[in-house]
Amino acid sequence: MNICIQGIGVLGGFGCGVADLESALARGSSSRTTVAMKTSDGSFDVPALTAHTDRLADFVDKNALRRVDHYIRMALLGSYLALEDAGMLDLKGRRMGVIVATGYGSTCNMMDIQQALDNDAPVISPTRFSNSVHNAAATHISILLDEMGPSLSVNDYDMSIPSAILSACRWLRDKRVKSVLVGGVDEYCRALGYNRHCRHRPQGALKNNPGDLTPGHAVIGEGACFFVLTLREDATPYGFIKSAWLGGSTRVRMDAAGDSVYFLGADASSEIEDLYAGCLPGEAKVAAYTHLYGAMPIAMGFDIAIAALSHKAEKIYASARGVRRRSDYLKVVQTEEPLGNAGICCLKLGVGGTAGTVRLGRF
Amino acid sequence: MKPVTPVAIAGIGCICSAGLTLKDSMQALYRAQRRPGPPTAFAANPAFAFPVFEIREDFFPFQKIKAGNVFRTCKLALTAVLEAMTDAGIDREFFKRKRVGVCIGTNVGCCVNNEAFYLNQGARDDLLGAPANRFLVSNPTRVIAAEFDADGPLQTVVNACSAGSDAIGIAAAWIRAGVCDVVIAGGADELYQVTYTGFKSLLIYDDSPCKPFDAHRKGLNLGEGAAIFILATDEVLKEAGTSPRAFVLGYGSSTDAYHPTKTRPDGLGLKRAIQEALTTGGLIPAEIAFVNAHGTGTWDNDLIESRVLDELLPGVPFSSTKGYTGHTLGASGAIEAAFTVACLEEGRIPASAGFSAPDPQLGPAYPVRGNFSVSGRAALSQTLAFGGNNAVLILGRGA
Repeated sequence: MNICIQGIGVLGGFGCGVADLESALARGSSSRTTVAMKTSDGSFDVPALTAHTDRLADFVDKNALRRVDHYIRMALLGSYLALEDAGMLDLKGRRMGVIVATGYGSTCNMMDIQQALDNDAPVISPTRFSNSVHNAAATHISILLDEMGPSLSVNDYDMSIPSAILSACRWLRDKRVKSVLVGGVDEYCRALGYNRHCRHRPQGALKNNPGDLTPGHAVIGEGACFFVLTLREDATPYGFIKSAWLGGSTRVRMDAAGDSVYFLGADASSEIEDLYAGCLPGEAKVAAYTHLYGAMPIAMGFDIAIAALSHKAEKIYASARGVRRRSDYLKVVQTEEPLGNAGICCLKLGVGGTAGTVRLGRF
Repeated sequence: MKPVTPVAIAGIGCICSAGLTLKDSMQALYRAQRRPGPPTAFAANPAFAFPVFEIREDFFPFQKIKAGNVFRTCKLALTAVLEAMTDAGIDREFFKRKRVGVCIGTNVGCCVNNEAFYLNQGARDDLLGAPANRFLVSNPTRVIAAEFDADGPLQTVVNACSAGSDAIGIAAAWIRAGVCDVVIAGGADELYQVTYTGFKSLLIYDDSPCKPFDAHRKGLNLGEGAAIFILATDEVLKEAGTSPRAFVLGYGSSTDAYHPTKTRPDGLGLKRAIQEALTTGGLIPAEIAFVNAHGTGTWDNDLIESRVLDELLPGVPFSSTKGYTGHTLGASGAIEAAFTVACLEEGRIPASAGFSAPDPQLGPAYPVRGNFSVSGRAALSQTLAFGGNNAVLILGRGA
């Protein structure tokens, strides 16, 4: 029995749904937008890959969304799209677990709460408070899908996705559930935009910000990516998850050294590029697609989706153009190439020496 | 689900308002001592300073910890880890030779501290990284992993108030699956102005010391603390020359799918979690010696919880310990699991603090009024959370 990817639901700067992501992959670009910000320093525009949730109206009555903010809407839409893609939207008796990962959490909402407290507000909006709880996205997913199975919310910053996949696989292997809706969501917020603005203006470069491991010019992204995983013997076009791991980079190197040839997620900063290369087997080829979805802690989720789409298309998509590499021994996928039987590993190096892998295979 | 293999608990550490160690905490519980007071961790309008269960002592053993400027949640967690290691009779070097995972439940430990951003916006660029940095320096899972060179799986569970219970249940599954040799698991949370103001805004915060299951209950009080369990394989315990202090026998979790902050009126989610915990533990209700109830002191929680206990575990004595600790949110499940083990060892459970007037709506299930003798090898600790998360642990005595 394999842990199969039965459905994928994605939304981000590239659009909404698998077809939009495939189009962006074929095009090699997303429609970058800007977000206007006003601060005490003045007004400026921040480039960002933001997500739209209009399609949620196809699945949920708008009255049910009255108290739901953008962060939760993204998670909901990702969930519905994944179930629709899996053909399980109207399936009864799914006995499904729900796992939601986030790196930033409900940041816009939290900032509004903090602003209210900074202004000495004696109370805060109950709706805002309940939506600020870290499991708020998973809560609304369970309520709207009427799923009473186990629910898990994880917040491991840039390791949140492998953390979530690890538990999803465990639940399926332990037969706690028949399927797992697992994914991640991260939201653009003003703090991130302002942070990026300060990084890139000539006289205001940020110092001492080890949290920023994104490429120097990566655009901030937001979005959601969800998967329906099931334990099956037969094949699905997206393939299956061979393993998921996160922890110290030493063990990840051992795990990654399996039969994978393609490594997705090589978008790390130059500071850890050598370490990334050091995790790879000699014949490895790397690809990065950050230009399509933007920089965010749950970015690995999109790489997993792209790996699954590569299985379906039987080809590996071309990496971002113009990726500069210090390390000569990182072989970048310059143009799309046939996948064959090669395995794909999504590899993320995180802060503090952590690393995570999710390896995918084909039938 | 089928019965699963029990997972050994090698050691436990606990810190909360009741005491700086598990032993001290239990002594306070059995003496019915509790120390609520106005918050000092953040500014609160004195006119509206509802009680909290804050740790007012200097507790952090700086000389024993390498980690530097970490946030209070991490300090609480690290302090509990050290106690758990001492309890298990293992040292740092032992960890280095094993595949060690870390699984911690928290709420506050993962929040973005945007306050720093607002206070400094546009004024000092070098402080703008604070929101991002807080993730790095305050996540208790990563801090513990770095402190003890753990290179196994890491997971930070943010299932609101059930996070600590879930973390222990997940960690036990890792041991069973052979994912790692040892897991440092539990929960940690500090007092935080957002949660304090948020619960007050929801009108479920008692302006006096909380009274779980009492007819005059008005809500919860917040607390802070941490509890850490060191779970290990049998082989590891043999190598360390130690025997299990206790066992994780069963674990169950489910979701209400009802409301973000209200408990499902029919208690179905909690019932499912209890049933899964009993099934995985291979136990029947008659084998449960007692229950450490969630018992927050909020109107709905206590009503539904008591009805479910009466239906599924009739006659099994129960108590809430939140009257001694406050509601420690992501730490509560772990702290109460630690209390559950200690009570199994002691053969008695403490009085349910704050309970004096029975609420007819709760009957016939009421918590114990005084220290109460119990016998048996297994007990149940349950947590209910915002979002409708229900998590139940069944813990067993060691040899």
